[in-house]
Amino acid sequence: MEAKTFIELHGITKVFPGVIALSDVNFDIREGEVHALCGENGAGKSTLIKVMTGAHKQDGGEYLIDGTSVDISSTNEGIALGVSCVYQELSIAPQLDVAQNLFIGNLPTKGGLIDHKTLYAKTAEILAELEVDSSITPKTIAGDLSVGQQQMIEIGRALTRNARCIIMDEPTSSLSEKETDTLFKLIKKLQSKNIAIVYISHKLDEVMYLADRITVIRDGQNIITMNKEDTTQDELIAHMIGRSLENLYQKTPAQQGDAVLEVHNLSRESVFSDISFSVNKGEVLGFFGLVGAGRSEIMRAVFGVDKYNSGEVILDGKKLKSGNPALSIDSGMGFCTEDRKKEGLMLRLSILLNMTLVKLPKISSMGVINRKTQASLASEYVNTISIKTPSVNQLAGNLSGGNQQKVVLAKWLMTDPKVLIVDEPTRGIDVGSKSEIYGLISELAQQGVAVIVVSSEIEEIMGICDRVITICEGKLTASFPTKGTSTETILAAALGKTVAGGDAQ
Amino acid sequence: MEIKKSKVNAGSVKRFLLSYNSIVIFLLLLIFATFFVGKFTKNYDTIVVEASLYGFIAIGLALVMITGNIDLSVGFQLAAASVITVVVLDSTGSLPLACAAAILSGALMGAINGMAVTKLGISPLIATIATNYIYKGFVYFFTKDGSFYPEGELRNTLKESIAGVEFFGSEFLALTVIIFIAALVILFFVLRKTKFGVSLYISGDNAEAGQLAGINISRVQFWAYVLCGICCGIAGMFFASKSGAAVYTQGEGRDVFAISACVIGGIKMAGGKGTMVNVLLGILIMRIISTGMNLMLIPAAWVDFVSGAMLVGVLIIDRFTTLKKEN
Repeated sequence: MEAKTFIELHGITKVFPGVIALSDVNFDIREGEVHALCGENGAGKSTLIKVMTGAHKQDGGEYLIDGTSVDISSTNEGIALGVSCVYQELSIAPQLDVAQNLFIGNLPTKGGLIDHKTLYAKTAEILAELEVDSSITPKTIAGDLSVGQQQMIEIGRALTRNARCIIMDEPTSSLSEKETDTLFKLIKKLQSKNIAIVYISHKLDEVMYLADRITVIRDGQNIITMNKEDTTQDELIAHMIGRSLENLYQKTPAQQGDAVLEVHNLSRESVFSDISFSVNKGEVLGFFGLVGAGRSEIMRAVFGVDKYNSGEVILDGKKLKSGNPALSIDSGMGFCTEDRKKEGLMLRLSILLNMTLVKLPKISSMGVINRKTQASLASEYVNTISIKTPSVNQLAGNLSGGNQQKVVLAKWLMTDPKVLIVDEPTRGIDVGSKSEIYGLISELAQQGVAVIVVSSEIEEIMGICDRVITICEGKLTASFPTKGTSTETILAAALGKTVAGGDAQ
Repeated sequence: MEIKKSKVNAGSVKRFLLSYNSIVIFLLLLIFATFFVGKFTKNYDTIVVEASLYGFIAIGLALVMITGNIDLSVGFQLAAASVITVVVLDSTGSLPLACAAAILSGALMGAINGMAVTKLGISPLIATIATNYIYKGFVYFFTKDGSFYPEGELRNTLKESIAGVEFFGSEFLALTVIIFIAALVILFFVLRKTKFGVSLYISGDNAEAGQLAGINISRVQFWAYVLCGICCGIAGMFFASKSGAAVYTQGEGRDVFAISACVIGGIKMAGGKGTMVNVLLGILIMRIISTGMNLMLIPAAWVDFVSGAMLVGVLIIDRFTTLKKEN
């Protein structure tokens, strides 16, 4: 017997000035199922979610709950009907306690005043149901929790509202593997309580693992809805990008030269210790480890943004200084940081300025920027690495994630780096752009650039790197050539297990 | 069992000290002034009374700051309400009407600030600097650079009511002090026990989260400004009664006093944190400093200098503790 249908969307259309975001989209959710919603960035997923939650009102089409047509025009009404959403950017009030966060906008009251007794008692119940760490009490300040725990609180929030359907937008994008596991267990548990989950993720292996049904949308239109059993990851990708992707990980082997960057015994107190490695010209070196293993911290120190206590970094025979990124840049190092929105881009400025930022001293004379050179440089890079933008004057914040990442890459490519560090280059961007970025990295290696890729996605490391170094708790645990090494071996090394065949340096 | 109990107590003491660490500054200042400033002990009552007069603008500002906004017009909202008190008393001869008008005018000025920030979307800093000038112009129109008082007997009526009333012949039980304490207690519970109170914190802590949870954040911020205006209205009424007149200089420098009191007391500039206990501590600290310096016969210019320097110092501490939290 088929489960009862909870939500049905028929022929949903949503138009924004100049753009048709959704056109005649059908979507339905059955009780207790995990229904994955897939599509590239800009495909219309967010708009569809917003229609479901009531944040947007559809311009055409019908929204049915339990077979009755409803008219939802605010998130409050959506919540009242049982539709809750766990947003990608967590909406936690960090200075308030767990209880107040769980019942935000919905605090229990008695005679007009907040009923703290009921609040804390109910919170304790929900925390027990979520099976969170016992160190979390209703009075714990939410800001002290880890991202994963905060997410649990968000899911708990949906439970306090008796949600029948919880929409999760990229829930694992900043979770560690362990936290992801906990989340998956919770999802299964919710399912068993007949709560439906709409699961949105770029991580297709997660989708394939969790989903009962998968719906793909592209360019604001339904492409297909299928049972998980009837499809494969490759087919899914093909539906998402509208063509079959021969090889996601584009990699042409490059000629390797001598070591260009050497790091000797680099240590930073209580962050990482005794890190030594080298990268050759034309090599793509992967840095793999769990979230929090210290990969980004090591890279920040190598680049010179963070200071280190001991050890040395030598670029092309020249010793770099701790805490002096300007020297590293001048010597030929580039660093695309992990969080492009926070550390990589000025979202409210043009991509022209964003791209030429590091290059400015070179294209200025006596402090005055040569506008012509700047504009032509920017346009040149927009064309060569195909950034999709109406003009170089577009604000960086208006581009899609993939194109933003390309802007960050362009910024460093302009400096003709000898070594380029890319930290989580494809986090939160769609498959199409991912493939293009992999292609770009491979091309750089062929031009003789040494590329260091920091990633927590093992497939990515295996697909595009020549060699991989594993990091566990601030220590370098092993180094392998990716060819001929199994994923399991690398994972084990990243977890700190001693592995045969890896030559610990 | 007993051990467990003492543990809980230690925890709550620690939490109390963390939230109200300004109590340390308060006690140190109090002890220092008591022992080292001549005649300070004879001025405890002055400090309490002046805290009640000045305090309301800090209370009002605190509500706005908790929502993550700022109000730099508290000084001339006070002075303007003071003018309104005098104008209405002068034309109607009715004291209750004058008081009601003062409070209403405060609410109106707060509403103007609130509209500018939430409806027009002007940055709170700029919006309230601008409205401060409007209120200042209004005050100047009546007072010029001196004062403006009601005719004849009415001036005495004004002086002898409100700020002139004290119970059991004790300044500690002045009417303004009682109203001030009542307001602190009521607002303490509003912040803790009502949905509106919690919404103020949510607005300052993560407005987006509140919005998604169906809380109308703009409305919450608007009402915080209105409440702030009402507080300024009450303060204006107090000051009109205290000097029997509306005085132009009543509006000057009050903004710095209010911000300093809030921030020293422990209300975060970024919003989302602080209670009425913080505000009270801040107000008392500021009053002890200025009374102490007066008693030491330090020139007014130096008092301003010290207030400014302290504000900078406190903002540095505020920034430092906020950063530490983020790491």
